[in-house]
Amino acid sequence: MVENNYDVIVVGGGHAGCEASASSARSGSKTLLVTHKFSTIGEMSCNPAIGGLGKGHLVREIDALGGVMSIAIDQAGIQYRVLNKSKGVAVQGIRAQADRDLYKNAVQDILSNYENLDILESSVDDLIIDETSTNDTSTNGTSLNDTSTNGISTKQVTGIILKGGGKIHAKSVIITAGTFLRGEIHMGKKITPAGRMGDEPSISLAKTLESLGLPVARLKTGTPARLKKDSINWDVLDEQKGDEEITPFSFLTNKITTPQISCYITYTNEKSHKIIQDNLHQAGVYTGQIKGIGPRYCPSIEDKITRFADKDRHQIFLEPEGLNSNLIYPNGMSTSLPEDVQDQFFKTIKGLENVEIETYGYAIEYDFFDPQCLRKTLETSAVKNLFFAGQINGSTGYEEAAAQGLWAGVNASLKAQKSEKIFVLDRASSYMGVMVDDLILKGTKEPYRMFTSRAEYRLLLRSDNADQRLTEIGNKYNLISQKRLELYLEKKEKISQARNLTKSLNATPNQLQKFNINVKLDGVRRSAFELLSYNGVTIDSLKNMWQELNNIDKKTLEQIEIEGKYAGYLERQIRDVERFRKEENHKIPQNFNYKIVSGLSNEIVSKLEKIRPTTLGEAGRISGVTPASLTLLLAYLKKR
Amino acid sequence: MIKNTIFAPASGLIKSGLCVIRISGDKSLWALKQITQISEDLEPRKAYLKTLRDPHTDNIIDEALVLYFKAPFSFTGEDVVEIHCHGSIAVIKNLTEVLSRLDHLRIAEAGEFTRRAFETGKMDLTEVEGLHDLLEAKTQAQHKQAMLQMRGELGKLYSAWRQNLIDLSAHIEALIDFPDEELPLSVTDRIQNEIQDLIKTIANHLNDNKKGQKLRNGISLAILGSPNVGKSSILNRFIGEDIAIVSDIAGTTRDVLESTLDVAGYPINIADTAGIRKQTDDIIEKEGIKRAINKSHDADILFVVIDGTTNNLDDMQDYIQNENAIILINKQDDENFNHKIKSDLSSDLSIEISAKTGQGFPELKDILIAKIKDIAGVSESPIITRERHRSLLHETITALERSQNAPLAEMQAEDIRIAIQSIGSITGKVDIEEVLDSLFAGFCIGK
Repeated sequence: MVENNYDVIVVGGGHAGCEASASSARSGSKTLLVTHKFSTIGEMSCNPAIGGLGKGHLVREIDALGGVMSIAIDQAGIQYRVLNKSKGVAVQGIRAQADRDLYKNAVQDILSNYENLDILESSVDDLIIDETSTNDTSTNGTSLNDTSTNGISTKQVTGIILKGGGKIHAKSVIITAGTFLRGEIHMGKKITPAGRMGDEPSISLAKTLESLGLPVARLKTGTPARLKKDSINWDVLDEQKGDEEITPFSFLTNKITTPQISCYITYTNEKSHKIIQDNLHQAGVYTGQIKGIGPRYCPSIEDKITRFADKDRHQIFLEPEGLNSNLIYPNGMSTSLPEDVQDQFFKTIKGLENVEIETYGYAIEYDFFDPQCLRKTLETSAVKNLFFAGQINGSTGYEEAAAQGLWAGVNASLKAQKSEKIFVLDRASSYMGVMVDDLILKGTKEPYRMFTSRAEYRLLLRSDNADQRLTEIGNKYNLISQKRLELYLEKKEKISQARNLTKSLNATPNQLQKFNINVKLDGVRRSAFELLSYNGVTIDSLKNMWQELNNIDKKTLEQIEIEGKYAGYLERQIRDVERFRKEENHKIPQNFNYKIVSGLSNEIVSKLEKIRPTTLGEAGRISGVTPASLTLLLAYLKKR
Repeated sequence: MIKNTIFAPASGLIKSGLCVIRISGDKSLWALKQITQISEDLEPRKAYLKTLRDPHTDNIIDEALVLYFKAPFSFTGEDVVEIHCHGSIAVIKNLTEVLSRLDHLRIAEAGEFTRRAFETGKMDLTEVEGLHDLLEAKTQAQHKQAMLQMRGELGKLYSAWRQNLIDLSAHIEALIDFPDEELPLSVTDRIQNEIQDLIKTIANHLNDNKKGQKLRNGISLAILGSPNVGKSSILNRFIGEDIAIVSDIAGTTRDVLESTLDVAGYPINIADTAGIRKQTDDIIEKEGIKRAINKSHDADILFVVIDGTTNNLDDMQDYIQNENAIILINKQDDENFNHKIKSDLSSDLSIEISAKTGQGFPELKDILIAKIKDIAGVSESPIITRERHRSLLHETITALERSQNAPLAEMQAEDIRIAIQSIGSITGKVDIEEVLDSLFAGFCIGK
């Protein structure tokens, strides 16, 4: 079934790999997914949940581009919550607990039947690298193009070598190795080489990548113990229910049919803190045994207790791993402490007095490659046609991985098809765009996670309008189905009609007063749309005044309400975006020789040479590149 | 290819006892070695006496003191060499020529050393502006103000406000991005109060009657009066009173003459205007009067000159009422001088003088200095010296005020983000990562 020649090969079956192979196949390339075990495709190695703030936005964007994650979670979600309900829609994100098995099965099911996609169970030991086929980089030899130092690929990947020596050729290869590259699990003083508990790490592939001149470093992440459900005293714990009215992830999902459950909350206390403190000398992060940098927003429990010593308790969310699973995921309790200490501190916690641990928490250290050495397409600049996605680029999280997978998949596919096009979304269009831009321009020191605060155009990049932002782009790249496109166009038309209607309906202050809408009595007519930006005015309150609004469906009215409510803010952001895109339009030639721009410091020149921004705007986002040097650069580019 | 090393006579091309030639860039030490023919490494920040030679002809150029500053501990943040040679034009020219012949060296463009200092982060924008003002400063008060700014006092103030906003922003972002965490709820009130305080502080800072800008640009003083009341004699007498002309700028018309004076350390742009009278048919005179009147509108201080021997004040009545006016009743030495004029005037700031004898002038100077200090007195705390700062601070306040009425957390966050950007633009700093750093340092987050 598996052939020996593909357009695109994806190495790794995690969230990045799944989305990469799917998007590559969707965009028309013959694709092969190679993974250690078919049974772990779509595995949730850490917490059993998808979405959240920023992350939920990413899932919606993946959905708008026809991805897998949103469809799978809508089959596997067992508790849905829209976070930030008390705040505005711009910062609301969907989060769902997942039944681990249902999720994995859904992904495996989708991918097994995917057109253009083959799956091979094997491990990849090496890459086939061709060093002679790079003579097509024609340069015009002017002083602007300094080809000797500017990092043009002289190597090209042409396939993979499997364990045992079998070769498979491909035009593009995407590596999505997760935490497997030289992965090491730390539990107290015990170190076990592994990619995930129970799985072998990838060592020879890590060595290959390093030998290709890619800049390697270490990161750390952690996972908590898994508790046995029937050993917990649930009666004494606070229940956290899901939303009554469920908002699904996918724009295509009408109804969630999977049964819904609750999560529970408990807290650490002084006793638990004391045990952890007394055993800090056994925690890898404190003994120096762990060198990689862990995420600040997901600290281990020993970290929280040390850094925030004044807090007398820390929250623990007890999240079921599935409908029929006997496992509970204690969210907030990741640790690198030894087993016996984990046993001790859990038992000090309310409801967990008699808890039994199924598997213990651990910290894992793994290789990643500085994403500053990637192009905007996620192709490595050192090796042509080699793409990276997910944790290998220093990110963390299923959603971040999946979004990069989708991005790299489309680009690897375009490259394989020798297309001129590239798939690059900018910061003003999507969270994906923000993430890739951040990673490749700034790199990362800790595992990179999406937050809404990373998106400067947050009010424009909402979860509710991901389809409006991206569906048509997805269509241009052949990523979405006809059905999705039609549904979207229909929705778009409805919104546009409703927008025009609300902009045309208007009334005087006196007329409004009769309907309890109070505005300044200045005789100026205000449109229904304008009124939405007034404090306390909702679309429902306008329905009394204008009956015709009752003929519009709820979802469409919601969109109009959002647009109206944020109007002033959105206008300002749109102006910001125009300015931003103007800067993005100042292109910098790929082989530009920064050394001939007089006045640039050596430090800045070497940064620019390493990262090779493609626009002036990108150059400005590189840390340490000053406004003054941008001015010099702009002046130089204009002079040419 | 290597980036150019730049050099220039830092003290200008003028004959003087000493001249300092500054070289900045990777090749500066190498360049020094070429012209001194020394091979050992110089210890940074230590003075050496060396013979300077032309490496091609071996001719001696000069004996000079040389210093080496190792990057980043130098003015530009790059390797810097200073050559303190004799300030002979021939020496400077010779040395400049020899240095330009060296590979990778070229003469610096105007302001290039400072630009490099800004790029390497040695100075922020306000400090660069302060340095510029220091170099341009002509009077003591200007000097003091420029020093404050160059030493970073103004930058520090703005950076502190910006940091304050970043911390607030981190609070709001924590509430937005981590709703499941147990964050102290009291923060929302604190945010409102702190924004209110900051708005007040910035508004106070803005409410400075443009003192700093006036000091930087000079305080404008117009001498106004009917024809032949002695305006020019007053100006001349004034200059005799221990007040120096800093510069003479030819007036744009024959009717308004401007010069800059140093009065007790403050720069005064003084304009001597055409005599004002209401009835005239002369077109040229009319134009002169129009310009005189325009000057009087813009002036920070008006000297309204009255002839004490006449009783006709009608032409000047409007100006006597001006709040910036000091009324000079001239010709006190004349036997027809009428002391009733002063007692009849409602203005406190009137004084009887004689341009001829100098009577009243010491008093006038005191009154003027008091008035100047009121308008542009140097304060110990840094103040706004440029319109650029002022408009960015206005933007900051507008955004902060909007944030106070924002109905949703994310709108408030957006307004604060705009405020941070505006204030950051004054010193040249903009970075989103700082908000996250502040957030993770302040809150225990980690579901």
